[in-house]
Amino acid sequence: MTEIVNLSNIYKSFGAVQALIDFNLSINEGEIVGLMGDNGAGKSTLLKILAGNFLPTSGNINFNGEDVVFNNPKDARKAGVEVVYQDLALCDHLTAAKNIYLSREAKRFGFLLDHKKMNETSQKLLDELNSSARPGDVVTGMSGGQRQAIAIARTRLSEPKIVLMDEPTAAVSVAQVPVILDYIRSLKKQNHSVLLISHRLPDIMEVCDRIAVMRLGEKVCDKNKSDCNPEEITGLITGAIKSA
Amino acid sequence: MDLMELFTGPRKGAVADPRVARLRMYLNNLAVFFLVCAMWITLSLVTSTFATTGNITNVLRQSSLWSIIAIGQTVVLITAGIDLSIGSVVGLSSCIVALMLNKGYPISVSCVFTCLCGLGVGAVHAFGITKGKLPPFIMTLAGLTTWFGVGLLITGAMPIGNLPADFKNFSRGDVLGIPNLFLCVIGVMIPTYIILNHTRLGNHLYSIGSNRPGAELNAVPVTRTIFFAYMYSSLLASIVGILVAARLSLGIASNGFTWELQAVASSVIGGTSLFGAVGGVFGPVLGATVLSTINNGANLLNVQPYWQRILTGVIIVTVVFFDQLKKRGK
Repeated sequence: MTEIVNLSNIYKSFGAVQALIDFNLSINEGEIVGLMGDNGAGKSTLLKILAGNFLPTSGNINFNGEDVVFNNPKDARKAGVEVVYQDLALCDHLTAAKNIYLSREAKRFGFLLDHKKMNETSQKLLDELNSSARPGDVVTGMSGGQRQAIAIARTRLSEPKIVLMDEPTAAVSVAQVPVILDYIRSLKKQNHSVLLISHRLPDIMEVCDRIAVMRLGEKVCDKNKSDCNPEEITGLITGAIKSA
Repeated sequence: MDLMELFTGPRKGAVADPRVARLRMYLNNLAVFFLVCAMWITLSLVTSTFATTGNITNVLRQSSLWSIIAIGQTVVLITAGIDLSIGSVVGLSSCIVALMLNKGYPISVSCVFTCLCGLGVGAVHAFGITKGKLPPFIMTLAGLTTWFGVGLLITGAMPIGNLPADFKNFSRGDVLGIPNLFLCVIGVMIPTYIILNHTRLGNHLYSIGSNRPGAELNAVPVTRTIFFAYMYSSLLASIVGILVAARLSLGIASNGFTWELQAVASSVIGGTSLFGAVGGVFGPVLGATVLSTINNGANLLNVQPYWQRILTGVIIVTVVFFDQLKKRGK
């Protein structure tokens, strides 16, 4: 199986705070890796390094067989990283379609926005996610689930190598959780990899192939799901179990 | 369609109806339009001098100048920034163009060079805001005094007159009865409308005003977009500087004094939000017409001109107060 991401010895500090310490992780093509950990364990920092928001203080990122440096989100996106951020990074004043297409707007005649195409494609993507959000509506006032759908729809505009998702099921209705989990499985079917950050152990156990647990910036566990049991994972997250 | 949304904005948790949002903007513009009509009718009735061709053209000329800088200000306000240097840039530009014309440079060369200076001024502001991470308020406030100082320096604080007749005639001329100054407004409105509504750049301007960190995460070229906003605003201020020099036949650093506030006021009267991401091109033009009508009406009614400045201040505070209520209500 081809390796898509290989992080080796990633170290990241913010002043005196060590957010990531000698972090190693590899993710294969079409693999869903669940990343768990308590608040402040360094999960979001790791995601932001992979997404090009932060540069690691030291360490190496190998992406799709090449050593890379993601200086900004654009670099990461170009390489094939799509992200669903925890806060979703939506612009409330823009329509759903303009949010989905933000910074890669469809054009005609080389410089004019192709509103029709953006609305049509957005409608299709939102339908696939079973969302009631309408492409022409502004995001202000939309429900948590509709917002989540827009942020997820963004990842469908390209053919990503990997999709990073930060708590995609935290703010949605109970009925919508299975839709999002189905979506994650469909990514796997199309051979895209997924790094799923979540606090919800049932979600992780349901879709992931492998589970990694972080505690205080270090990886304390990295196992196939079949070798994990929920009690052990919970113990690792809280620190009751030191490592596994 | 929930008509209450028109007045209160979308209810908490309810999906904002885009038709209502659009209608709200039209209604705001329509209300301002009716305000202009009401003021014009009232002034025509109470004064014998308002409804004369000469006076109306005068109002329109003044409002044309303010419209252009208000459109520039609006582009900056959309990014949740503010450009307080506009008045000084108008003054400085009028000095530059007058000095060049005095030295015998052709009109075209003088105007182009002045516009380039305007772009440079905007680039300095944007550089301070993006690279120096200075708040737009501070950066352009510093610009307000700096560019005024530069204008005084290069002219020795003297008015520069003796401008070519062709240059002076432009601001008084018309094409098929439409005043040249008003044609300039149209010439600014059309490209600005296209940029704001139909280009990626426009979408990026709104996205930065709406959620700058979010725009950054989505790979929006934030720095480049902010450079555009401030350079565009300063460019329009330079164009107005040239037009003012032509209209008054004079280049002097105090041309355009405090016009940055006229630009802010015109823009917010026209529905632009000081908190970013809300605004268009028609609002500021209507707003500028309101202000120039107040200005003109006060003169005709023999009200002391100082009242106009006080009124501008009151208008800004009132409009922004209601804008803030809307934001808090959300």
